[in-house]
Amino acid sequence: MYLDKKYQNVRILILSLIAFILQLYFVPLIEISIWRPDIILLLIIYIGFYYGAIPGTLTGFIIGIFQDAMSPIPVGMTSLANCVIGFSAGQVKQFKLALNAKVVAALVLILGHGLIFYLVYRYKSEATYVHLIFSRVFPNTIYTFILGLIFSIFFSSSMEEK
Amino acid sequence: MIKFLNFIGGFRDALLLAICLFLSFVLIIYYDHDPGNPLRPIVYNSVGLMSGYFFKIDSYFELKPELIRLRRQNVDLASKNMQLQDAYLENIRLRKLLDFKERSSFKLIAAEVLGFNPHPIFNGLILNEGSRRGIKKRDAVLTAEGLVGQIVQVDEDNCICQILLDRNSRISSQIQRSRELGVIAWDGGVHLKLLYVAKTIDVLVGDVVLTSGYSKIFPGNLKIGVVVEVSKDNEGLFQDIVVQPSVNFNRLEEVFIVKEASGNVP
Repeated sequence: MYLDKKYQNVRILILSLIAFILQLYFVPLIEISIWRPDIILLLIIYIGFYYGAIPGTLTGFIIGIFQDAMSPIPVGMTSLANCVIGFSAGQVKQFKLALNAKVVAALVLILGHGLIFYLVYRYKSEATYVHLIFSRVFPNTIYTFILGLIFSIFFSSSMEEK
Repeated sequence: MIKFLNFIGGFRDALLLAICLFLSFVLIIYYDHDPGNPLRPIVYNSVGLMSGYFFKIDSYFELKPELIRLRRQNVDLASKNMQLQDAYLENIRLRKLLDFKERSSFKLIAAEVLGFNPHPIFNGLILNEGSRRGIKKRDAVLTAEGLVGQIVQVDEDNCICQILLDRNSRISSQIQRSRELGVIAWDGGVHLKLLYVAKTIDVLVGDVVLTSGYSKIFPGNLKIGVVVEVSKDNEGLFQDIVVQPSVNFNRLEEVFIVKEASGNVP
């Protein structure tokens, strides 16, 4: 049991590193216009779904701090949205949902992340919230969700309930 | 006491979320006023290290310094070439003017591109030079092909460059042939748009767009791009002008940060 817990943390750390590298070097190659998928968000949802609320919240918060550190926006904005989504994904785990329901939940969580992030971000932007929702949140949600579906097909065997 | 701790333990998920949210708000408020972030150098250096290990070919035969020297020379020559073209046109127009001031040169600092900014809301590059080399916020960034953008965030060893393809980027510019002024902004895709050029102005496909020099950030006569589409079909006062950037932002490996610019290209 203790060994499982230890390996769980190592696994989350390695996955976080891979997601961060992919977000940094792979995502710019597949962006369409201004829309980019968020691989880190997919990882946070995955961790919430399969490891629970505490790993989801903590991973979201810590990765968010690092994401913000690489951007000229105030530190804390991404971590705020990330930890809410990590926590919510962890709550979904408790319901033991079927795969289809999890897919829908993931879509809602991706959308929720965009809505929360841009709700805070609009105070630093000249754009209106409605404009941000239509120009950023919806396209990014769809793109991230599609990428998540592709990942789930390729890695379906490793996504069994822990 | 134990009962109380057990009670609290029952809500530890929510408690952790509350702590994380509280910390996030504190960080947002704190760093909104104080942009210096101790994490940034660590993250930048880590990214630089990763780039060095995974994405760059080591310069075993000392090709890299030679490459940097040649690229610097290339930027100098391209700038001079652009200035000569511009001087020729200017000479025709301004033949009668006296006291033509000789243009001053600027110093270039080479910087490697460590990576793209991973944030979905900001289009920028992470560069491996910082305040230690005298880089400051709002320094212009260019390559031999033309203008790349400006520095928006600086730490000791790294900085972030906002590229032209960012929604917050605005650059005072002019058309080389007609000297008409406008503002360059991103069109949301892979092109730029030249704003605020009246419909009465003659703009042709193929016109070169340069920085105007009416800015404290960008020296004048740096190439921004070439006009690829002109339309007057809208109902407004201004033309819709699409500009192809001269820099390929997807293939940037090295850029030059402009220091000590005093208005125009040498």
